[in-house]
Amino acid sequence: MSTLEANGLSPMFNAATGSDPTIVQRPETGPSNIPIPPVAPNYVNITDVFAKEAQKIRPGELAMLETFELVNAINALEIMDLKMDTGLLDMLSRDKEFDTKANRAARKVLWVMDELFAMEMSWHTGGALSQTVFTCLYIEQALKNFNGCVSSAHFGDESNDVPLSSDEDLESVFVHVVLREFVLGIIKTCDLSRRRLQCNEIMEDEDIVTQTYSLDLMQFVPVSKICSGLTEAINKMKRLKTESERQHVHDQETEDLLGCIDGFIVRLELRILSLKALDLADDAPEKQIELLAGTGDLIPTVVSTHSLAEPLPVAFSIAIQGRLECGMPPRPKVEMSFGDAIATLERLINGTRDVLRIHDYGSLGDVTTYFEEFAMRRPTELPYVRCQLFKRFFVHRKIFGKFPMRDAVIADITDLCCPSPALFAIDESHPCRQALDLFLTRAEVCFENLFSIMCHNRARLRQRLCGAILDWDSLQVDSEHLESSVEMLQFSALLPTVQKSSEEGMRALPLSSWVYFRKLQIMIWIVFMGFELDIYRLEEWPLMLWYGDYILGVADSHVARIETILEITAGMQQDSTTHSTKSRKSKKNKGATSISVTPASGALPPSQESIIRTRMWLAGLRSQIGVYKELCHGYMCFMAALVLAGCVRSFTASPVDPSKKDYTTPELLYKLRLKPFSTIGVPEIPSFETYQRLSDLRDWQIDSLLDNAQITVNRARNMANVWSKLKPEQQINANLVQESSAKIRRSLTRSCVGTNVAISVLRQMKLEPRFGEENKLKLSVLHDNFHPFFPVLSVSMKQ
Amino acid sequence: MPIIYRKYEPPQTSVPLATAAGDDDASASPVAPRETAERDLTAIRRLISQDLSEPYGIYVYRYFIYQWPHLCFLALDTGVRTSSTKSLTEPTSAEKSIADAGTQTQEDNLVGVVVCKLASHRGVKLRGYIAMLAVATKYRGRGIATNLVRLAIDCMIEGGADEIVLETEVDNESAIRLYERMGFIRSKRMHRYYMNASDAFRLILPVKVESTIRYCVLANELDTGPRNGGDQEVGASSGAGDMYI
Repeated sequence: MSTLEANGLSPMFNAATGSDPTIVQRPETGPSNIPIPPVAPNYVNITDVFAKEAQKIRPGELAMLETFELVNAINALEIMDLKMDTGLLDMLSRDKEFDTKANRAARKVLWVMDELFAMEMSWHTGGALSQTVFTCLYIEQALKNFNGCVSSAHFGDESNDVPLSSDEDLESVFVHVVLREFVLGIIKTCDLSRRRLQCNEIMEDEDIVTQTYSLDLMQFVPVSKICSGLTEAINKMKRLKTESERQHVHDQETEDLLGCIDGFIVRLELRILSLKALDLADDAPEKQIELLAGTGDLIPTVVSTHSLAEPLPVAFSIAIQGRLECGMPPRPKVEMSFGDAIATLERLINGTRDVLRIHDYGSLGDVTTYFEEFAMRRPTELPYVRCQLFKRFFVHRKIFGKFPMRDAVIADITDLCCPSPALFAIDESHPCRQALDLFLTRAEVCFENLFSIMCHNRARLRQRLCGAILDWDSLQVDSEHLESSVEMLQFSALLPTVQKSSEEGMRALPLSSWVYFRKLQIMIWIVFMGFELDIYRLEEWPLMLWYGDYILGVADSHVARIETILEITAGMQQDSTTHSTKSRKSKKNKGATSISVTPASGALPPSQESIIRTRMWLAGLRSQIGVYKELCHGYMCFMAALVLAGCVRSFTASPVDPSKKDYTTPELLYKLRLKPFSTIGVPEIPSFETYQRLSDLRDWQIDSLLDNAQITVNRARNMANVWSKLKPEQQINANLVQESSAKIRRSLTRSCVGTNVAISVLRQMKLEPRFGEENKLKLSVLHDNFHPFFPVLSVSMKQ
Repeated sequence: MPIIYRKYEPPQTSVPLATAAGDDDASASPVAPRETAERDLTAIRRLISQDLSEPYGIYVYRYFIYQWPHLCFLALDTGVRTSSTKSLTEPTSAEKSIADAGTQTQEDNLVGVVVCKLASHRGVKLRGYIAMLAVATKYRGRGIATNLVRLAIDCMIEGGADEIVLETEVDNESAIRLYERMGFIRSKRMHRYYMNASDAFRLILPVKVESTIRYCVLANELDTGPRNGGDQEVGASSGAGDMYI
């Protein structure tokens, strides 16, 4: 509903896939394959019985099965209602008067091609085929006539009524050769794309609709066949162009015609390259990149010839929906401008090319980082691209079809915690081998799930992270249990620390440390994606910034702990090397303690190279957490000033107008907001009373809050600047994301700058307590160009 | 124009349609009950569907209103005379009163409606669901929607609701403001939830502590339903076949 008093369940759900039980679908491979029953059922006329029984129902009584759910109600067809019955739409439509056989001027054919291309791109962005590609009457006619043989897919009225085109009759050639081949190309492209789009990371109806309403998109026609048709059409156009040029006629009409012919040629060429790129096996990324690059190179010519197109809107109709096997109500055509369609194609090409770069990874850590960066991109990549990433990454239950997920888990643990290499090489006889295997198997599932989650749209991604966090929490329990066993202590020996005696030292616990870090990272994502997705209203910002700051603090301490252990290990390794050298030289120092010789009793120390990698990795993580934490702190102070000035309501105050009845309490809202984390063992959610106490601003001054905000935001900005200027050799796992990571880091700087501007605006307003009671501030959340996790508040006085 | 609020009540008579139709005196006879029930639904549907990009089928209205008629509230403009054979009884009390609508048609003076449901959610809590809310364009800005929602919430809380939920378009600022003023918070965003491809927010009003508890429900205990089943709040797949709600 458009304005105020309107909300409601989605009218769209599942209707696009139109699961009407009365429809018997033709055989088709794919998601909607419902075969025709071999024997026709015996129908019995029950009209009289039904009418008689219906009389027994009281008015207003709902007769339904217990299993009748809302989904059934929404999917039920309502016959003879103009807004609900697509059949009626078909009956009333005059689109059948459109003659697909008729000759059309080159300009009009060019427009149909471009509109059809726009419809294809519109489908890629989520519109159903029935609202996009299938609205083209040429597509309908070709598919209607198609009997499995390419030649049957023509624009004639009947399958045996093949329209003939003569080279003498140009307009006939434009329709029955150029447009027809283009139409077949579009159909086949949709078929190939549709098959590539089927994966768990893409939500049917939410990201894309792959339903074909039982139409065969020439599934069994080889791409080569379609391409040869397209090539013939191109050759025909080239010949035509040569002949026209020979005639040396230079009037406007001829110029336009030649322009249109150029337009036809480039569109047909683009279609061939697209088909070949889609048809190429996944194990030839270089070839695919080449084809995609070729496709991209043709775009400028397509754009430059578009101005010649002359609209022929009657070639498209939504009445087709009444002729499709679908149970959804009539839906509008999902329009897309030519400019937007071109931009979408470019996103498809660039996104797919970028995804193909993952094959250039240097380490599995590079791939993990790539996924994280991929998920953060703005705008989110198109469903096709997201799907391709996961499909390329995880082939036959292995990474790139080569490495088991366990390798990625071990690489990730090694990069973060730098455990003894012996940990993952314990032999069969080791008492912990089975338990370690079990842990790694569970870790594989959690880790694979994380890769999969990163390919979802952002809203779904956050939702799935809320589920994943519990798995990681449970995995943490497993890891702690495993590492507390006596047999595993050799990999987590007691390490002496500066502060404590060796008896009270730290244990490395690499497995638990890794799981805990990943869990905290997920928690950070969940918290800050709430800002990105506008899930928190302004009153909740102080709470969620406070909780985010808390989790970031825990994560920072945790990474600092790992860093400390690493440095102790590195120091001991240094001692060990020195000691060994000295031993070799002088055969002395035989009485040195074992702990100073080996970091983990009985286990091999990590290599110097591993230590350096982990040191760089941890430094990068601490930089990131540090910037987030400072910025978060600055935002907290900024928001606190607004709360103190009465411009934003305090979260701990009553959620409703005091004059109205309360349905809930701040404590319930606090618990509901933090519900995703409520079952997490560690870190535990602080109690509401704690939050209440810590968010008490009575002893604060607005000016000092703004001062603090500015100081911390500036500090964050400096840290972000340093972080974004890290050289490649100062980073690990960044081979695939150098450029994009720098971009994201720059967006953090922009968030700092934007918030600084807002702070300055508040200063100029000379905020004081109760300012908000007398003045109305306009607070808008700005997302564009800022870091997704840190949108910026724009502040102005309300007119 | 005074507005009164009434709880929807379906006709209670069990007189079959044929009997009513056989009445000689057309002007004095009651409107045929089945027709009345359907006509009320038609009026409600017309009001709600005015602003929808895609209408709900009549079965959706029947699903909600016939199963939870006591959770459907109507706002009627008493200044408008109905065209039915029987005029509306003038309200005797203040503007905001709840009375039986009886068998009268609401077609002509219906200016606002809220349609709700109250049912067990995954067997762990009782969830109220505001399915539809609409107010005629020219009556907006007068607090009618707020009154309707409050009536519905009061009734659902009386019925034992642990929480009240609903979905609304992310761009529908006025609707979001209306609900948030009552204490609703956004629990999640749903990508391309609506027909016009816009996202939705799930809003939740926690009434009891049960609303804030996170449950793990085994997948086979979940009722089946599509992703956008309106009241089918699902946390996220854990990868182990369980769902967290």
